Amino acid sequence: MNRDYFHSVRIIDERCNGCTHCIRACETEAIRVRHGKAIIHEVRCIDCGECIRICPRNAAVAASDDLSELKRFSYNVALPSTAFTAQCPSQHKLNKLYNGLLHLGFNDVFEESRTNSIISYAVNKFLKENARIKPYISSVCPAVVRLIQVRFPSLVEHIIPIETPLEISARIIREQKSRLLGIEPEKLGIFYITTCPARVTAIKQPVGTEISSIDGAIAICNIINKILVFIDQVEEKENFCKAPPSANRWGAVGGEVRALDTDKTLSVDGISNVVQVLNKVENYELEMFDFIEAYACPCGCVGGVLNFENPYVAKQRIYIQGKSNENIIDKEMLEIAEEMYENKTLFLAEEVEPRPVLKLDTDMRKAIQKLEKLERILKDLPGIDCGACGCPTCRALAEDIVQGNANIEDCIFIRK
Amino acid sequence: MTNYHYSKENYREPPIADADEDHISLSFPIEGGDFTHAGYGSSEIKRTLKKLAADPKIVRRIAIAAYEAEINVVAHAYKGRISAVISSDAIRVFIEDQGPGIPDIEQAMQPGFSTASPKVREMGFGAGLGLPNIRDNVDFLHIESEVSIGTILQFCILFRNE
Ligand SMILES: Nc1ncnc2c1ncn2[C@@H]1O[C@H](COP(=O)(O)OP(=O)(O)OP(=O)(O)O)[C@@H](O)[C@H]1O
Ligand code: SF4
Ligand SMILES: [Mg+2]
Repeated sequence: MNRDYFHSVRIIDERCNGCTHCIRACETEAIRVRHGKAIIHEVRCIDCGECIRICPRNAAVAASDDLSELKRFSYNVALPSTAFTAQCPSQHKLNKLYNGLLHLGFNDVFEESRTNSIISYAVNKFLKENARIKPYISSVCPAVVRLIQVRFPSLVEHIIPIETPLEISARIIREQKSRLLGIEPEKLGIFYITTCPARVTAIKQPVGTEISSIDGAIAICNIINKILVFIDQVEEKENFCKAPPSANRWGAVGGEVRALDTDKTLSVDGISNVVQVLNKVENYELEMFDFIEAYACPCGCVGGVLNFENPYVAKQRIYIQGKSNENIIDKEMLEIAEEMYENKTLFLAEEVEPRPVLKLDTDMRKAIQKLEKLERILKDLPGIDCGACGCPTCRALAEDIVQGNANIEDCIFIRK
Repeated sequence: MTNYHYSKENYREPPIADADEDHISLSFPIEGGDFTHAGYGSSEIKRTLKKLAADPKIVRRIAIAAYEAEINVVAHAYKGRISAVISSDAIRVFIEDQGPGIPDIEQAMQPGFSTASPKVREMGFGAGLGLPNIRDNVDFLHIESEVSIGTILQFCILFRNE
């Protein structure tokens, strides 16, 4: 497989004025401003979307697929993410939006949230059978998985080796549809209606599995904006709202752990908060927990940058709709869960590899020499992290100099 | 003064990094009773090791040992300092404090032994597992303590010969 880095997050040069907001927002220090434009360092970027959130000029964007991709297939299924359910004020409106998808060229709709109960089943069973590692960390947010690979490589074994709801959804759709409709699996298009660039990247270039079962990803906001134009004409031909409200809770932080049997869980949202929690996990300070759900976006997936609705409004809707304590089981999904757990298809096919790309050198001796040099350079820099050199901090400039990617004269205080 | 010494089987003292050899030195103060900032020094050491090419598994062993030792100063002593010297074969960490000292180190090394105050227990510490945990994660450990004066704890973790 092509292991070149694909990234959904990118910078539109014409819009970028080199303001440096994004370089400081990036938790993996992946962005630099060079010659007045932001540049993303590909191996470091985890596609969390923080730069998109902060950019005042909309220069940082998330590439996703276009509806024209549907033409490649003879039958297309839309797979709206769980957070989609919180984009409009009522279930009635939601079903209208789902039916609107049919007007955009889709032939069927399958809610991702239906498979959340499969994953909950698997996590519950797995945690009972495996007490070796504490805490396990959810694999649901691909930005968090990549953050761990890059910044917390020693924690890769804490990532629970269970597939994500979207991958499992796509496998179920492909199996069911090709059986029921008698069409060849390759003629069937499955498109994720996505909350975030991290999932676009996870589909194009998955971690923990060779090839994704999903054919493309289209942004929630693009889809909803299109449907709103003709929403009054949409007829509710079918009821696509099949997931129980308790399954929709996954759209906001705290929802994933509510379906677990253990109370020893922790929920964290917002990437800088996730970094703090992972730091504690690394120090073995959180061994009292069995499981952590961690989401890069504030409020969880409703906070993803490609959503339509405000994250806090969306989160509140999810809380209200999923208020009852009951975890309603979707019987059809439960049967599938049992079978998939037994034949191991619910597990990640590959181990999540550490990707410690932040280190100075792969050779310890050379790395030490570089760090010594870095510290010497740092003493000459003003230490005010002004960002004018295009690096997030003075330390980052010193590192770039040591790595041969910048000059001391890039510092405006030294240059004058 | 009391002493405690432990070294792993087959442990051979790595050459001390002299001024000529490339090495990194780090040093951070520790304030007794300040649980809010506790763990800063060990976090910085960990961050530095990640920048170097240290094996993630070894980084974690160092992180836990340094963190526990730092917390012991915060929990049991008045003030202190954590320092580290990193060379290409090993990391040496020194934690010294001014504090009550440890009258019987053998006893303090027993899992479950703790004199932690109620305040410290309220902070979630005091299981008596810190020192034994340090020993289990290092290749070499030496503790010296004098009652009413303070404690010096040194440990070494080798980067190779797992
Ligand atoms: N730096 C120190 N100064 C004085 N006494 C210490 C120091 N470090 C450890 N001790 C003594 O040794 C005992 C055992 O230490 P240890 O770290 O094993 O457990 P703890 O600190 O009591 O609890 P835990 O580390 O599990 O939170 C302490 O309760 C304390 O009496
Ligand atoms: S929290 Fe959800 S929306 Fe945000 S990056 Fe992670 S998966 Fe995407
Ligand atoms: Mg202790």
